Amino acid sequence: METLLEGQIPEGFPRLPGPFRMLLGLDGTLTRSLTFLTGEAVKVETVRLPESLDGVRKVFLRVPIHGRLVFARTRVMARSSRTLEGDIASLLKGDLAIGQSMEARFGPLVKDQFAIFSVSGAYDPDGPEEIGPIWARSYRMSTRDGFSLKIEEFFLPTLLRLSGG
Amino acid sequence: MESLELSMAAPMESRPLSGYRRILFVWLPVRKIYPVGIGYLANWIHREHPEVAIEVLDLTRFEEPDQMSALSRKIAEFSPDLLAYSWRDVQIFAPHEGDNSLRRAFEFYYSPNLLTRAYAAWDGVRMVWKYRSEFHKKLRFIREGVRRAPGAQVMVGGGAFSVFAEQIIRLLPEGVIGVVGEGEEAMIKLLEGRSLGDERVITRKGKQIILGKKEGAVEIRRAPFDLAYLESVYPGHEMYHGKPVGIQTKRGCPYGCSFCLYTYIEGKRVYYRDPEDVVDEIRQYQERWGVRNFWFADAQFIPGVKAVPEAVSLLKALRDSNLGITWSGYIRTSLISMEMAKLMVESGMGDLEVAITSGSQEILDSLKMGFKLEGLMEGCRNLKEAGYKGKIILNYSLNAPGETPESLAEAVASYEAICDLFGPENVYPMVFFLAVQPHTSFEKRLMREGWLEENYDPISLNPWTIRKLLYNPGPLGELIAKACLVAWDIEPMAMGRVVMREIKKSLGLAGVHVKGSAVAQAS
Repeated sequence: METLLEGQIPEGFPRLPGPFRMLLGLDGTLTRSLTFLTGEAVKVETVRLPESLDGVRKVFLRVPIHGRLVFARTRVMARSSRTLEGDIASLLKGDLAIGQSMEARFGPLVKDQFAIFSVSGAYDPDGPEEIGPIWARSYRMSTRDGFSLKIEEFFLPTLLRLSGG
Repeated sequence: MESLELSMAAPMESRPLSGYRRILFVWLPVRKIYPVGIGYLANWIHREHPEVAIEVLDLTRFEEPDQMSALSRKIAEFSPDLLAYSWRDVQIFAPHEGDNSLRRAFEFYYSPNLLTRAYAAWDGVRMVWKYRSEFHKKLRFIREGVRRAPGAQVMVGGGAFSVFAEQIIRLLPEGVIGVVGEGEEAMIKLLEGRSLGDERVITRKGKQIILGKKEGAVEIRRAPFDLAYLESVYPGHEMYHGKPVGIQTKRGCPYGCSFCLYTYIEGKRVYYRDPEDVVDEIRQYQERWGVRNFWFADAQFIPGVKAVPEAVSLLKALRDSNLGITWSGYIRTSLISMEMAKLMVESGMGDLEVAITSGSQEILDSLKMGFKLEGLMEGCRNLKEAGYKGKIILNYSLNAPGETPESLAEAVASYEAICDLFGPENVYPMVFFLAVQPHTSFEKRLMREGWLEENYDPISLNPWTIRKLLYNPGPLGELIAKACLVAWDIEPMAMGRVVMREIKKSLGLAGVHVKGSAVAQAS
């Protein structure tokens, strides 16, 4: 398993339920997997951020019955001279899953720098404060002309319960 | 897949392409210190212009005889059209660990032993020669770059360059652009072919030196860091794996400490980075490079009351990141409340470095330090109560203007009061002297008072100038120097403690009693 991640396998990871580990280790679309797990359509709930906060997107992935499952934070890591500023702004403000939305606008994507880690408490001022560790994954998504985003997905306790935890 | 509509409200322009295609950053040889600034610059440029190819040449990783050929080889291989040098140390009498220059100077001026003085003179000359060679070697690296890449634009920046820019730019070929302070916006403007007229850049035209002014500073709030990208453009980065790394959490300092250069380099207004970006950067260093110890390379970790909410947010984010790291930085303990102290301990604060400077409030006020000793002591008590168990490094700058035997005694008393609180085994006094630096109010004061000539050369290696720049005048200077000589002889690894003991002894012998300082009274 060491070869799958560039960093170390975090302590406690092997003790997590199998489906939850699979979700953390996904290199495909998380939204689709959440739909299969819950049997519900996943909606993107965007967090309103100040206009001055440029290049950041924060959303919750939620389903109608079980509510919020994931808090996701997206940050622009590299802009590109071929990428229209307006495109980036609407990508970040939109309420579609970021991977699909980015692929539709900019073509095929490369995903790399996968990492899994855990945090606790107030890991983000806009995220919910939870008791106990929150598991998260991060990766970079880049277009061919160099535009890239870093995405961090914090799996909320509800998702852990739904995954057998 | 759903159809996507582009927002028409947002501006639709694309970014201008860079006029430069290949940037070679050159880290001029220095002690093995990770080039924090180059990392941020490379990331910044990559974020704005990913079409530009960047490479970092760290000359520190080559043996000295191979450094020049490594530079020539890299220029030939990479063909940069922009060469950007970072110059960290000028080494004008800046003694550091493993450097005996201060000791030799004191031995030469104050040792009663003639043989010791003779050896100090000989070794001192050797050191002055070494400093001179190092300085000129760095100039040669830049001139060689200009020669090897005749079509490329050459830039120079970095901490030491920023301080001595007016002296150094005179020694470089015309056409070289020097950057004073932060370089992100100046570089982006250069890449995009925009005017540098409102940037802090310095150039030479014949004998004329032109220094620009910048309004405001680089907005670093959103500055995510991509370590994987940096690795891909930085051969040899492995030598820093597992070693302490510097992280900038903010830039600027509102204080006006009369001897300090941070405000000149970074400005008085403080710009903060998002805690999420800082924590993410730390996580990357930990995961990819195995780094566990971090140094917050800020002028001050808590630069004033207004900075408290930002510091609290960062400490909370660090605590909740479960990274298990330790961190340190320059910290004003006078701003450490009980809440802050707890967060510091919980987030992994390692050693605490405090610029107490003096035990006398009067001297602190005259140096415009902007804190009260009572406050410093209260912050220390809060830390103790919060369970802090690390080291306390107390930086003293003895023999500041106005120092008297009584105020020196207060410095000793302040050290002892902090020892009483944390235990002497945890307190490490570091004895410094006020080094005169260009662009500081301390320099101007000494010029006014006639200590320095108006037209003195700050990069001079003349022993008489060096003696003046290392401010330690009068009979107290001799007393302190002698204490230092004893400390170097008997306990060089715990020099500060012995100096304090020796000063106390000397003051006691001279009939000056160590009375309660503001710190001691507050404790």
